[in-house]
Formats: sequence, structure tokens, C-alpha cells
Amino acid sequence: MGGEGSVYIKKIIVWSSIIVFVVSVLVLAFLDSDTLVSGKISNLQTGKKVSIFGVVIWQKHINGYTIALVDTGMEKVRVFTKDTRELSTGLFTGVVKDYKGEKELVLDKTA
Amino acid sequence: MFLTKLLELFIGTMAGIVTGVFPGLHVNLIIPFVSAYPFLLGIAVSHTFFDFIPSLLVGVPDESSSIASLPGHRLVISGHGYEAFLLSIIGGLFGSLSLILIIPLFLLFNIPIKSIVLPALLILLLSMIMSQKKRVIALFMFCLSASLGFVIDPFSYGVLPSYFTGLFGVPTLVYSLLSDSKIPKQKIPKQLNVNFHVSLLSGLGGLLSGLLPGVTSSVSAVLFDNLFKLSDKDKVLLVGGINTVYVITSILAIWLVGSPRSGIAMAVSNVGIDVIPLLFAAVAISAFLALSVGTKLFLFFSKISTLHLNSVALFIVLSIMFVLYPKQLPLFLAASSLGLLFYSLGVSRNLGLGFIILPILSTYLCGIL
Repeated sequence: MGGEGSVYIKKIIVWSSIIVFVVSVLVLAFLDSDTLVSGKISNLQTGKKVSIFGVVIWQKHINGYTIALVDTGMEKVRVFTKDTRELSTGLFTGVVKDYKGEKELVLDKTA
Repeated sequence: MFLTKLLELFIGTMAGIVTGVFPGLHVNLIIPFVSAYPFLLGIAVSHTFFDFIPSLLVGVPDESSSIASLPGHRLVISGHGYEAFLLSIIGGLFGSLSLILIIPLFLLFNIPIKSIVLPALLILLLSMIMSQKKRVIALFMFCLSASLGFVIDPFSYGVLPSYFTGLFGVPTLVYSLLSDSKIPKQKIPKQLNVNFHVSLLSGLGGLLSGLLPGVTSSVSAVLFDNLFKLSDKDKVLLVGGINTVYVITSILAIWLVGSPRSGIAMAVSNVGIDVIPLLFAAVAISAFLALSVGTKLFLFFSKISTLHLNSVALFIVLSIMFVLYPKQLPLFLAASSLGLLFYSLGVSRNLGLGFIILPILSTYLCGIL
């Protein structure tokens, strides 16, 4: 039913919706949904695996371990790793652990 | 796992059909009962597409009072209601897509949005009053609405839905019931000109209302309407876009400005980056459902007698107020009286936004001083 105008507009809506849906689903399928860009680690349960984006404020290498403070924009997160790699600003993936009553992120081992 | 999220999202968009079509039902009412965030994203987005059906068809006045009525109702009276519904779908879809252009620019140029709020609101205030023929009455009614906003915190739970339902919903329904209004047959448009650039405006408007505290989607809509003097069809396109974009940006505000800006945003505030493709998938599904299911619903409701439609709508609205917002009943009654006064004095009910505009203005002014 309908004149040409509405048929044309309906086609625009249908095809735009299909394209947006397909692109969104492809992005969703390949995305690591544990990357936390909203919310705070301090609100998460220990044992949860997450990835965060952040800026390294400082880091120290002590006895084969590395401790760093990372600013995610929403909070400053203590990051811990059992090696002496140099951490740089970017993505940090690890497990949320409790350290003296505060949450910290223990990084995964590098490949 | 990602298929589960898609399924929850789809069920949420279906639920948004129900909350959208019933006047007075708000998505925030569902939050306490649901924890699956894809469902919440779906219902929030879908609601913005389907709530145009009651907005357009419920409370349609008779032709003699059409000038004082809302743009959507004017289009329904002239038989272009279905066209308005199609425009609202396009507004929601392309307004959301415009964010893909707008947000990177916002981040790249680090645009200080807060600094433009004060001049924007002052311009809005001036243009709203100067655009009225009865300026003294308009100013008086604006101040009356604003005085309510200083007595009651506009941003407490249940206040805004109660105020807007009273200001816009009740007078429209009452006048429509008292008059002998009929919804004329809605034409299927042979030619449909869409000003897609209005979608960019709706993207900007939705971004403003999604990021800035106190600037609701209605304030953004009235601001752009007053600045650009839009036609009724472009107003519907604009509002359709702003309403949907507001849902998206109020959630992205968690990331963009560090705090959520809506009930839904607070409910999903600890989720991962997959919220972004889920929101756009929800827009796509909702636009498609609005076109298919929404069209059938629109055309079905447009054939029901306005007396039955408006009576049921008034009953639903009053029931929701009594059951869900009993503490706001005095405000609801005050806002309804105010709305009826606006109607009888022949000035725009948009001036009732003084309820939130003046308190926001004073907040920003105090911040500067």
C-alpha cells in the first residue's frame, strides 16, 4: 500500500536498519565484552576478569614484581604483575583481587 | 554468550512496544524487576520509537483549537499523522547514526559543552517569550511555572513524569474529550520530503540533554525549534531523534563525563564496552519493528473513536499516577491546572518548561558566581 514517497522512505528505513544491525552484531561478536570502559573496579567482585584503559601514573619494580598506579579517568587502580615488564599506557587485562581491603588488578601473564 | 545478549536485547525491544504504546508508562518502572542489561537497553530504545503512537493519536483536539495544540496533533488533524510517525522513526534512526559523526568531533575538539549551556538557556528563555503574541501573559505563565520548580526539586523521583503528564497530557485529553474531535483518515503520503540535516540537530540536541544535568530532551527540542523555526514535520523529526539519542548519550555519559545521566544509565553503569554495539543494534531492531508492527498499531488506533481512546488513556494516566507516584499527586494536580490555564489563555505550554529551566539557570549562574 502507499504512494511512492512512503515506499521510498520505508526502503531507506529497512535497509538502514539492516546495515546498522549487521555492523553492530559483527562488532559485538568480535568484541571482548569484559573490557570495562564504564564503571569502577572497586565495584566489582574479586575473581572477575576485566580489561581497563588507563594512563600509568607511576610504576615500581621490586623483587621481580611490578606495581603500578593506573588512572582510568574514573578511578586510580593499583595494578600488579609477577614480572618486571615495563607497563605503558593502554589496555590492561587481568583479574580483580583484594589487597588490604582495596581492589587491585593482577595482570595476566604475557604470551 | 553474545547470542544470549542479542536475544535479551530483542525481548527488551518487544517489551518497549508495550511501555511505549501505553501512555504514562515509563521505562524506569521496569528497572527494579530486571537485571539483564541487554533487555534494559532494548526496552529503553524501543520505547522512544513507540511512544510516538500515543503522542500523536491520544488527545487530538478539534480543528478550531489546532493552532494551540502540539505539532504532531496538527499533522494528525490535517491527515498527515502517519507521515509524522514515519518521520519520527527516521528521526530516531538517523539521529542515532549522526552520533557516529558528532561524538568523535566532540572528543577531538574537547568541546566545553558546559560553557554554552548558560547562553543557550538565556537565548531559549528570550525566544520562547518573544515568539508569543501575548508576551506579558507568556512571561507571567513562565514565572508561575518556574516558581513551582523552586518549591519542588524537579529532579526528584517521579517529579518530572508527574509534571509533564499533568502539564501536557491532562489538558490535551480533557479538551479532546469535551470537544467533538475526530481523527480524520490518515493519508499514505505520495511524496515525503525528509530534511536529513535535522537529524544532525537531533544528534546535537540529544548529546546536550544526555550529557548535561538538568537539560532534558524537551528543553533541547524547544531550544533548537526556537533557534531554527522548524516546520511541524521537522519538529517531529527533531523530537524523534532527540528522544532516542538521549537514551544513548545518557548511557555513554558514564564514559564521556564520568557519570550516568538517566535511570537506565545507572542500572547499566557497570557494564563493558559491548553496550555500544548493543545500543545501535537496539536502534536498528526498534526502527524495523516501528515500521512493521508500529505502522499496523498506528493505523489500528487511528480508526478507534477518539472518545474511547482518550477515555482509556485518561484512565490509564490517572491510575498510574495514583498507584506509582502517589506522593506526586499534589504536583500532578497543580501541573494539570497550569496546563489547563495555558490552554485557556492561548499561550504555548512550552513555557511550562520554566519549571526546570529557571532552576537550571540559577544552578549554572551560582556555579559561575
